[in-house]
Amino acid sequence: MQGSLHKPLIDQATQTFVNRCAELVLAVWSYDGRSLLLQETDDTQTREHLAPHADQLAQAIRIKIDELVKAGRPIELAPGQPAAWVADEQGPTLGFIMTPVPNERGAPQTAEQLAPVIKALAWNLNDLRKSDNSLFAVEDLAEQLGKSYENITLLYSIGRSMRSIAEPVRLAQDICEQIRLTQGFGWSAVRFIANDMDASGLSDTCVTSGEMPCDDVLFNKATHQLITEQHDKHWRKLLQVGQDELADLMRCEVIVEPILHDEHVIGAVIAGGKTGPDSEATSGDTQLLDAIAGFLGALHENAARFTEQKNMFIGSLEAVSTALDAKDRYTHGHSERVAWLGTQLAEAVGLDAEEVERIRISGLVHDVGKIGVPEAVLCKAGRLTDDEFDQIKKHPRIGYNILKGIPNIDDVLDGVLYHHERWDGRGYPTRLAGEAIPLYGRILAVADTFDAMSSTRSYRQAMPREKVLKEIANCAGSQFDPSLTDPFINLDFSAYDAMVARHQGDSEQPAKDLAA
Amino acid sequence: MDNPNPTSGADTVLIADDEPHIRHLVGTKLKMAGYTVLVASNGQDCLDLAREHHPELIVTDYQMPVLSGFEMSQALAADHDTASIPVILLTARGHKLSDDDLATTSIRMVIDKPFGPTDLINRVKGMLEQNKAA
Ligand SMILES: [Fe+2]
Repeated sequence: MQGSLHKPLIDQATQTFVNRCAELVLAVWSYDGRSLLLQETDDTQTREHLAPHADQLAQAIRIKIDELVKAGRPIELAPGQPAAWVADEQGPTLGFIMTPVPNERGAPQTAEQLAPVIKALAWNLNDLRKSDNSLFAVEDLAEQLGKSYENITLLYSIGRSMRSIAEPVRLAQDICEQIRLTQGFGWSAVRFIANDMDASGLSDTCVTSGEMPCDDVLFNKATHQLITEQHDKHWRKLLQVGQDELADLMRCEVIVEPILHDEHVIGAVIAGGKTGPDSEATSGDTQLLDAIAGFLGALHENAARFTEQKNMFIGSLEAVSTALDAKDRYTHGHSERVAWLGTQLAEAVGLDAEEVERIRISGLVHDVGKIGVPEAVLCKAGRLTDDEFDQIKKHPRIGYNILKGIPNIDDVLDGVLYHHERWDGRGYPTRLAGEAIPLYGRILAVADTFDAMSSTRSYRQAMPREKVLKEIANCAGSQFDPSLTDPFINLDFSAYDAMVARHQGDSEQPAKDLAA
Repeated sequence: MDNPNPTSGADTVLIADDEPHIRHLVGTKLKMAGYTVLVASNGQDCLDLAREHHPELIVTDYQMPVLSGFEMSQALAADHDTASIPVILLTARGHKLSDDDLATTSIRMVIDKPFGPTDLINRVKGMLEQNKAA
């Protein structure tokens, strides 16, 4: 990994990424075993801050490089200046230097506390650098096939759909359908075998298209056996009646192309029952199936990485949010409660299960941007000055910037960026009004405000339930979407009250930990 | 790639293509038709195998790394020892070879990709019979 052959690499994708995280990342460094590159973020304030220390930081990294490479976790270069490393399989060692966090800042201060953020950033960056590889592969292949075949349309449509890997089974189904229609097979199937470790959502999947000559149970069993028993090197791709079990079962010649992951066979594309004057597979069929098996391998890999990454990233951000909430015993458990209230309101206004889940995630991370707001401001007792309030107002945007790099998480962004907008347009940060504010933002705004009013704050006692609900009703059409206030007021809050009691009960412990 | 020593009796056909799916398809179908099959993944390997085993016929792709099917067929024609081995050339549509070009090679037939294997096998059979009659 630390070979001297690698060039130090801070590529375009890395720079774009780092600039996008300017609130959190001070600089990015790369090390190839000999030379060390240090790239500051584009933020002028950050640059000024860094300039006098650049040499010092580079020196600190140089001294700790072995430790960094071996650590597998962030280590501190100097107190308040943690760094992390990202090991890219092909590239040089690449890492971040996080924004220095002096004591009065609200952000977590030690490398250990920053670990989830850094891990999340690392995943995010690696994905950015690797994304679209599958698309390049599609384009290469289309180019290659275009010389001899007319299947470019199919390949491009598959390539396009590779961008949205959130629903891999549906994609596999589409691809399966296309194979049958384009090549004139009587039936086609895409089969992935079971694997407990598989996070792709494709494990033990069988999708078919056309009239299958045998029932599903038999087909699933026969294909499972075929896939698990064959070895790639001696894979038989053309199965004949009288020689192969599956061909006998299907009563026709069957083409089977293995789908590979890291040289392991994880599934197969299967087709047969060719119609038309010539009932046997042509070189065009085998070529297309060969190419499609390659795509499905990439789809599987992307889908698995996507799921892992998304879960890990959201998990990390939840951890950060919880830690932020816990810093102040008045906000302890806030994100969890807002998430719960958001889902209840979403259900009440008839959103489907998928949307409710997105609202829940939005709620859990809606205040994650507070990591960039000084603690003295966040936890200040008494009125904020204009300047302090301006700092608070940055948190939706910061949270949005942290999240926006992740593919297919766009739907969660709305809740983060817009939860402080007001129906009358006097909110922040975008000052959108009415229905121009995305629905998730409008929903979380009600949930967020309700929880704030229902909790004791450093500057006032909790308001009684009745008064809180009256206040929500009064703000319909000014602060809140008037169509949301009634459904909200009618919610059953007993589970919420239980949550508050639980959070009050365990708020002592974390508060002590963080004070240490 | 398993290349068993051709046994006497069955005719031997040598296939050359850089695309594994073509080698697999043509190889499977030729074996099913009773031929002994040798495979190569580029023009140079194909030439070496032809010189060593003297197959009865060669089916080769046009575009291949190291040595193209066309160059390989020129080399076969230029060598006394291999000049009599007939060659069937598989080409991607759009590649047209002039008769003058073909005259410098052992190529007897050109087939466009994509092709149906039964059609190819029938042509292989026909050409082998024709060659024996001659
Ligand atoms: Fe907020």
